[in-house]
Amino acid sequence: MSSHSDRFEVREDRLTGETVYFTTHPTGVKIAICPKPEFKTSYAVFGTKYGSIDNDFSVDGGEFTRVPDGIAHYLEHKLFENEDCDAFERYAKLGACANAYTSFDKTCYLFACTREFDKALEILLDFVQKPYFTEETVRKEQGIIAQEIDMYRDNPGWCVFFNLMKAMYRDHPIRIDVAGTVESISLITPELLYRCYDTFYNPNNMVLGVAGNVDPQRVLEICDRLLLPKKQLRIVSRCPEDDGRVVQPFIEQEFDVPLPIFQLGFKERWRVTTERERVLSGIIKNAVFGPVSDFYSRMMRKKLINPGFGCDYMYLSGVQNMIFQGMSHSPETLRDEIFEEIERVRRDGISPRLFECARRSCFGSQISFFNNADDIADNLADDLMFGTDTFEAVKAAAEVTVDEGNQRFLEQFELSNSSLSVVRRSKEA
Amino acid sequence: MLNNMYVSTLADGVTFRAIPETRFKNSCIAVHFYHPLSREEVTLNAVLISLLRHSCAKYPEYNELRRAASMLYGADIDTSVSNIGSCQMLTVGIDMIDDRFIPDGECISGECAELLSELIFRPAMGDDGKMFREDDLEVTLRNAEERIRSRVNDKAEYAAHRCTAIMCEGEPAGIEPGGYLEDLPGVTREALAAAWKKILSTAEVEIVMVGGADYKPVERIFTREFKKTDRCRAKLPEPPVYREVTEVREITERMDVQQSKMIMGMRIPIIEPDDRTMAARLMSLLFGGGTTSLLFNNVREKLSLCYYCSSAYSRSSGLLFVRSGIEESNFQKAVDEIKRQLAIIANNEFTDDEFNASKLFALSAFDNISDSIGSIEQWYAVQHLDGCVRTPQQAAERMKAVTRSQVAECASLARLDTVYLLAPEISEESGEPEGGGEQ
Repeated sequence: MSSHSDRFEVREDRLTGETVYFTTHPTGVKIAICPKPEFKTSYAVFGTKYGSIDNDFSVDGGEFTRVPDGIAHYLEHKLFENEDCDAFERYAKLGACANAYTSFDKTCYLFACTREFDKALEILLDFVQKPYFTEETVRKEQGIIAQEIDMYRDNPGWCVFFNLMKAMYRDHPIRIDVAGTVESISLITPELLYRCYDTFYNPNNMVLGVAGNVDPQRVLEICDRLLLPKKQLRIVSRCPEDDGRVVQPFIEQEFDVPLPIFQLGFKERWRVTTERERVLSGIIKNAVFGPVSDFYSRMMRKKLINPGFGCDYMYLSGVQNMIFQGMSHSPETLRDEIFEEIERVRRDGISPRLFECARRSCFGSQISFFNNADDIADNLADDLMFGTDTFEAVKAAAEVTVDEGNQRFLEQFELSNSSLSVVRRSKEA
Repeated sequence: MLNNMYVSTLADGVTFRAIPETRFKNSCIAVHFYHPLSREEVTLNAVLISLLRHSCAKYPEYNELRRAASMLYGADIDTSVSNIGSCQMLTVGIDMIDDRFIPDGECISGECAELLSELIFRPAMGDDGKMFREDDLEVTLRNAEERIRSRVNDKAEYAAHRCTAIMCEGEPAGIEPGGYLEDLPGVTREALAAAWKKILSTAEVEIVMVGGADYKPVERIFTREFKKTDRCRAKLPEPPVYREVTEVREITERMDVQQSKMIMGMRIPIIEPDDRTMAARLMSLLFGGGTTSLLFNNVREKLSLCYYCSSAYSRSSGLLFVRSGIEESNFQKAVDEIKRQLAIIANNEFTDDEFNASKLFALSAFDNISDSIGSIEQWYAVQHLDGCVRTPQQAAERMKAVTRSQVAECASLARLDTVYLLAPEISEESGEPEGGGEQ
């Protein structure tokens, strides 16, 4: 430990046995490194807290700019192309496997490699800091992204999700597809891309997560060499005010699916939650509605669910909800059953035995997250971007009690603040 | 990693393979059964494997079994069925966190191995004392029906299934591992019990364990269980034979889709245990295996025809499929370009950079295997059928030795068999495919 620079804050976690090196680079980039010398693979992710929901923003107190939907994702595609060569080609010479993705609230560039980590990291830091957008290169991407958009429109699960978001949120940009629409991306110009880039790819807004067979000191040296100092900006990304209530309780779309597909969302008024609360949310939904529950077996016997049934907790800026999803002959009947079960649990509480089952499962999966370098680096990068704490989540899973679970349950499922989204064949078909 | 691999034979045709690894948080144990693939039994086996994870004699109720697994810190019971060449592999496995990560010093690995053996050797019994319960079967059959019917929801997968079924009709590769709707009514408790007894008795078995948990108790448990089983191992069938292509079939099917899904099915007369499978794998990587490939860089990046265009070669069947999602009006352009790229490989006209990048990509993939517990487990599971067990490092050495001309030879042997297109419906007014008019 002592051989490492005092620029790091070192954290050793007892439950997972992992050691992580944290630092904020002088340029403003936040860095977390988890060395796993016993592995061959190394993985790095360079990310910006910039996703599809950041479509209306101001810099250093200036005017707000509204940009076309899908531009964060478009920018991600175009950044791979530098003036002289394409980042994929540079990675290919090293045998590194590179990728990138954009979600609602972040854009991440990543690679995995088993040799020449230093060179691969240099490529990553270099190309992400070297935008090159021209009329011609921007136009070329439209065909590719239009096909990506069309691909998702053929996915009924994707449709049911975005319909649900529209039913739950009146104005929040969570309603909009990350990739935008064929129309919105046609409005994207090099100037707009540069404006978004110059705002959100400010080092102050960026993080680097690394895990695997790496030396933290070497990583820092490469960062010193390659991270470019820029004026640190104050970015404000705004979302329209949300009154915390769903827009409509039901939404439906015709789609040629053999069995109706549904999502049922329970909206919570948005607030910053603790790691412990989020872990509890995961545990209570499994204890009450997961395969260990009586509810699950009963619904299986009533033929209202199949093994695809599940429930997920969604949490990002301005959005907090619990979403049930699956396929069912009668999503409406299933919703009524879920409502009834919620009322029963509000009255009688969660079974302590089932809470313990779900808590132990949660602890097991939290520990399992640390099996792979890519999961570790991704989680660390998220922590740096969003102020979450992966290790705190493990600790919470080891400690939480059923009393806390019951308390959280009361906040989580408000029957009058839910929406059901269904896609099914037309009734006459 | 594999210097300390432990291998023993527990019974006739039952191999136990342990790879002790303390680098992971988890351990896994998977029991694989290999037996001849047949169209008649495939649906039965798909249902069987779902039933085995549904319950067991000790935990006859589904939720009781899930609770028992959850109390073992979320031990994950997984079953699967896959077709490999002319064989089928049925798997029942369990994945658990290592004892050293359990807060109170509790030991669960032995219990997990016992639970796995319960699932395999003591399935739930009906009131009549016979194997499997009627209501479990009812639930499992309904789930199987819904699963099979919902295949169509993933249009890219559906198109790939359709192309394979049409192109490989009557061949092992054309058999759908998940089973067939029309065969579900014929699945009975009696048939399932007979099938499971037969598999336990005649299938080749490989038990693979990877992780930090002590393997000795696991070996003891499975030795004990297989001693009680009447073993009479059946011979596995020969690998599939290459079928000559006489004419290229072009098939278009229409459905309510936005984007057309194109599949090009090809045959290569290189099937395990052929020495050239490694070269064929490299050829497929160079052709369409990721961002270093010719298909990615030309069909997508240069011509902007698609978001994805990739190829995958199966060494157990000698089949190669190219998949892409395109605008229907670009269909011929995409087909021509894909053929042109294959010809470039066959004529040995690819660049050294392209060749080296694909090889490095392949070597990294072999390296990566040792860093994932699931990949190590799968590596040995599939190797069982190769008749010769190699480590990923040994495979990487063979990959290193592959030359440009060997890769070119593999491409020159590839024969296009079927071009399948799943396209949007023709709208009645215009006679044009829906949604395809703008470009």
